[in-house]
Amino acid sequence: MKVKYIFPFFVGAFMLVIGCQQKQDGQPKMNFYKSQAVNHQLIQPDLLAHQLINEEPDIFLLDIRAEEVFNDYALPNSTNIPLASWAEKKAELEMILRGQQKVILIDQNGTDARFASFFLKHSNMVKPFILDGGLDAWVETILMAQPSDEFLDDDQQEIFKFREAAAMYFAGMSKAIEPAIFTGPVAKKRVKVVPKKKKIINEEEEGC
Amino acid sequence: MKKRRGVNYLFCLIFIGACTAGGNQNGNIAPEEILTNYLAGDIIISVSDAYEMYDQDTSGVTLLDIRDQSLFSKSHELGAVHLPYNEMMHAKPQSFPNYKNQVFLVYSDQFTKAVDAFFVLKKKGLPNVKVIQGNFSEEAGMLVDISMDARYNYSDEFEKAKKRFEQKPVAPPPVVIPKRKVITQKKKVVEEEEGC
Repeated sequence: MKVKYIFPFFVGAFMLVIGCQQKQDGQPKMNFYKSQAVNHQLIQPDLLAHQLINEEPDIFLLDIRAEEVFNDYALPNSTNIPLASWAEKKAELEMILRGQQKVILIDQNGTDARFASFFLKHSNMVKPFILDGGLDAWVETILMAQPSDEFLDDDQQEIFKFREAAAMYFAGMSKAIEPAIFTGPVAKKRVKVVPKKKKIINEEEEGC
Repeated sequence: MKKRRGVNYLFCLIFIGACTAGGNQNGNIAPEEILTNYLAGDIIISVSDAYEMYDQDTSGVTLLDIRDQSLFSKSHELGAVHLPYNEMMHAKPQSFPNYKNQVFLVYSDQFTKAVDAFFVLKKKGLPNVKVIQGNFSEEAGMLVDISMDARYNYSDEFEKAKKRFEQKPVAPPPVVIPKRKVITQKKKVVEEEEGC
């Protein structure tokens, strides 16, 4: 009878050893090719500007730069959690990001955001978006939008007009910065756009 | 019979344990470790340090060029191994000799591409991967350092934009008035003038 039990025991032990070896080598066999792509989700500055102007819901702007530079300039309604503190304050980060539908990571050039995105995805928190090119690209595309000397076709003209309008919109806003860090989700401030009163009676007055 | 059942349960438990240990797809990925290494400056390496590292241990260090074939054939770093980013997805780590002990220094014509390649290679199971903080310049035929600092002073640019729109306020979009109203208003004005 004892001989019968030895065989399954050795088979199980053998598989356990193989499994542990695979873990150490870091060469998982399952889905080897399917899980290779990085698949960072990038969002272009134009699209982000469009979404912010239209006050699309469920957007959570997460600025991962250091607090000093964040205080110098930040996108409206963004929240600052410096990347340097992520590993230590993982639980708090998880709490803040819980339930957020669309997290957009903002850094200065897109490099830090890539590591942050990788961290969030593989910690099973959220699948964030990255502002493509970071604030460098944002400033270049939106705030510094200048008329081009080159001939612009209709599409390019439309893009330029949009960028100029977006620059006016964002330049007109004060630097809305969330004051507290790690205090949990904070209600977003909404900017009220007050329509200008139309002057209708001017022509008639001039006539008299 | 009871003893046999017990043995079967034991076997099942061992089997499940083995499968769980072996089937962990992200077994080699430790996001916290990667983040900590990145913040400690262990992943990004300057061009000069990369050259120095390569010169000191040519056999232990592999320069990995991930640009397209056409760009690689024009010019590349001496001794660099070519693995285009698109083909990287299907490459096997075993294709690199002694990959467990090799240090891979990745470069491209765009730094962010090299950073993306870093993640792919880590997922592949290459233990020692670093990204060269530089872009390969076709004109220079070599790696050129890039700065990680911000290209602009954001608050300055913000103030500039603010001033630009204060000085030259953009005209509000013209108010379109229906034609009928315009005509009636004009006619009324004319009639009143004639009356005077």
